[in-house]
Amino acid sequence: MVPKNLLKKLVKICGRENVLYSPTDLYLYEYDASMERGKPDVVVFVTSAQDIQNVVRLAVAENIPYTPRGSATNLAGGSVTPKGGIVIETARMNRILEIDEENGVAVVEPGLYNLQLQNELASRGFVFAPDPASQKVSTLGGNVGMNAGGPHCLKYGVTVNHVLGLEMVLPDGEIARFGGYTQETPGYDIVGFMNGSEGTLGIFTKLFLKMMPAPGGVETLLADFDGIEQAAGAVSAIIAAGIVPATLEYMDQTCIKTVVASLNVDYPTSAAAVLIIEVDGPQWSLAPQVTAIEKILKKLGARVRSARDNTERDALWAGRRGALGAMTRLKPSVVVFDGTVPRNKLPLVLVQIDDIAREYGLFYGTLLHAGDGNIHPIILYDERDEEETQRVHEGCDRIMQLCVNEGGTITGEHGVGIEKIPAMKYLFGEDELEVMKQLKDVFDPQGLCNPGKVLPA
Amino acid sequence: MPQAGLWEEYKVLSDQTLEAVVQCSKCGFCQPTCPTYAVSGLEHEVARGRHQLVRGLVEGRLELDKNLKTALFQCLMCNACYTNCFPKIKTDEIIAEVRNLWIREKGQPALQRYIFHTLLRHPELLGRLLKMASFGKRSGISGLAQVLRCLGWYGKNIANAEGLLESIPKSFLRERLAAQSLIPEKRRGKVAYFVGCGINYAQPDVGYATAQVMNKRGFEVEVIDNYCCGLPAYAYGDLDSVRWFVEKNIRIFSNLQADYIVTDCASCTSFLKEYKRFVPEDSEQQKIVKDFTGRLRDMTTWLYETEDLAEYKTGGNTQTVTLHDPCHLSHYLQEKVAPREVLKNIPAVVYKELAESDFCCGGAGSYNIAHYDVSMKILKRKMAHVKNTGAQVLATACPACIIQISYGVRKFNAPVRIKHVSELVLENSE
Repeated sequence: MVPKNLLKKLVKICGRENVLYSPTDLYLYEYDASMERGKPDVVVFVTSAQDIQNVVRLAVAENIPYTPRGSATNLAGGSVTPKGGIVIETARMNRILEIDEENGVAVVEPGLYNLQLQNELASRGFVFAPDPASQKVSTLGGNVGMNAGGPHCLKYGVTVNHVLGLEMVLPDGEIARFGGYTQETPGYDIVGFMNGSEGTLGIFTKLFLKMMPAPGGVETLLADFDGIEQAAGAVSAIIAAGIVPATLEYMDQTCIKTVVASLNVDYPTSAAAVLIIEVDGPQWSLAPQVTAIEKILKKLGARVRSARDNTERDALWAGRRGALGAMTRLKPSVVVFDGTVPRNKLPLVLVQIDDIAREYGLFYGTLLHAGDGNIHPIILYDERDEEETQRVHEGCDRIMQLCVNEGGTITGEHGVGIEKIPAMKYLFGEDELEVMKQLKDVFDPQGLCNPGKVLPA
Repeated sequence: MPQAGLWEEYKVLSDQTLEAVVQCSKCGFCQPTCPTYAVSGLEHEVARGRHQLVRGLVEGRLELDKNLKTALFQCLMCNACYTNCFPKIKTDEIIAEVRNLWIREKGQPALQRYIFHTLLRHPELLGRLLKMASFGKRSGISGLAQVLRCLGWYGKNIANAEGLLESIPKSFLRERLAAQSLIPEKRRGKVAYFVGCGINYAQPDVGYATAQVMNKRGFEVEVIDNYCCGLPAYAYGDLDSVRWFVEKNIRIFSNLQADYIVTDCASCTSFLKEYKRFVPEDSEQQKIVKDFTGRLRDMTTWLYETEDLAEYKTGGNTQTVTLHDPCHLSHYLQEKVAPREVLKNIPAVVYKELAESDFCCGGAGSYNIAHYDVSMKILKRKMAHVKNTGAQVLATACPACIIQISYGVRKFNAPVRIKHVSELVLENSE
């Protein structure tokens, strides 16, 4: 419980209706989309940088932890509050402040949904490249905080490559701005450093995002394979040939069968895996890319289909887009595992994941953002079954170790949050973790800003 | 699939609801589509939060108290979350069951009891009382409530909602249709017309247009002597009343001889399709339900299916028309094609798409009276989009939407006329 006088002060800053503390409300802010839980002491809705500044100053003065929260779609516990304290909800800071077509910069507030920006840009012939699968609901503040990926990040890079500047409230309560309308900012790359900091180094209040012209055209292919190793091998073969598709997505047989059964899509259920490959660019550049890719795919024994128009394109994508949903209907609970391996290790890693799954008795299907080696085994279980849940945890841990052993990392895009803190030790040594710890201390010496995340205690 | 597992002891809610709640992975994709969340941003105003509240109740972490009541009764039951839900959780069924639990544990408010157990079960009484309202000088919601002898139960909500209803028609649809022949010259077939309460008592012009259009397309119209479909009672969790209405209507449906059963209220259509849930499996009633739902069409779907029989005027002035998708059509029946195609086929219609066309208008039956402030925030958003279309006419297919959006026209000064799709089709027919 928060002391009464603190509540009073929060009400004064944010307004009565913007401060929640009833037991029912607090229960509703103890989770995100992961398995983690942690009850906050109070939730405040902020509408301006000044609100955030005032709340942070108050928290610092009273020595109370605080955690930023957008849509709470985090998959690793990033917006959960294991140490309690104040949840600073930025969902209502969702305006597009400026669209500067001449300089290619969009200035937005952190609570804006990614897709809302995409829609606005599309009407002007531009795109914001990072397109996480959750773009309909995840906020841009969260995307930057997690350095989000997405299918198109293979060709265009992840979020950090598209953020030009940030305004934020630092953990000492000051409002600072790094970068802005220019491509390059002198001095240390604080903007880059803040990307993926998971809300542990301050709270964003304004984002300066890079707009790119929309590509002239796209071509979409569906390739099906008899073996997962050939499918996974095709991924590196395409990129080794000097072609960078816009997206390169992989689905295994379990996913294929599930989407075919529930979504009325036309994927070959006998295939061990399919790749959905999309190339984009000026119209003249598409045909040569497609020809080259088809040649590689056929050499590996794939059957290839291409979409003749937008309807067919949507039909090819429908299965991929609906895969997670269709899978989640099979069992009550789901873990979307997230890890990354060098893409030429995909064939080996996929086989080993299957071995691990068998050992731990896991029911799963695999989706990959295959182009950048980002693996998403979707593990289904029933969280009410404690023994099964334990096996899922242990299996995931083994898969993370596997990723690291093969030269990859423990998360591709979902972040470390709470869930993957123990796995940081697989990836980093004492010295490396100490450097990170010291950096955190420089910004947040009291350790109040989103505590209990990212770094081992 | 494992049974309720550690919740095996919890028998207050059905296994089906328990399974549905645990199926929620908290992904949060319901957030951008939920109207109450869009205007509040509060976790207890979105399907994910509501699932977790029910879960908290089941796990004994939360009490069935006022906070829970607010969260669960403030849901519009628009089903937009279902459309966007990965595991396809039927949140409306969870909400209805928990509202039912509330009634069982805390008692049913007198107003609801009066409406669902007395007025709607005795249409002749309801009709007589409404007539008094239309002949007297009483207007607005409070006048209506006064005549219905339930003013006192509405409390403070009534003052806000005063302007929602402009007037009560002098004659109801059933009377008007009884006074004329509904057999076309060239008879192709027969439609049994299920008359919804909203159409009968509040918008007889819509129903009149519906019957006329059916005649024009060569269909004899038999007006079904039906009761309320049961949806209003369902929305307030009065499942006993739902079963009463379902049983009465099924008895009536068992004798219907018609090619189609049609209603021009999207809410009725979608709820009639749910009847199978309220009768025992393998029963005689289930057979009747299967038979009539097979022939059941929403008016917009029926218009679309019989489009080749349409004879439209040509060469006249055109008008710009946009469409608001009723939730029961778009999110329950998942039908978005039929109303659009029907409108686009009318030569004099220049069709313009409405932004967020399938976002609830906030009407939701009597939600606009019970939760006036929330409803108005949702309506404001709708009306801003409507104004942006610049359309002269907004078409829709549900009486609750027509009442709500017509109120929006007056409240937010939107220069647009509201029509049911049937009315537009009739106006433009030869």
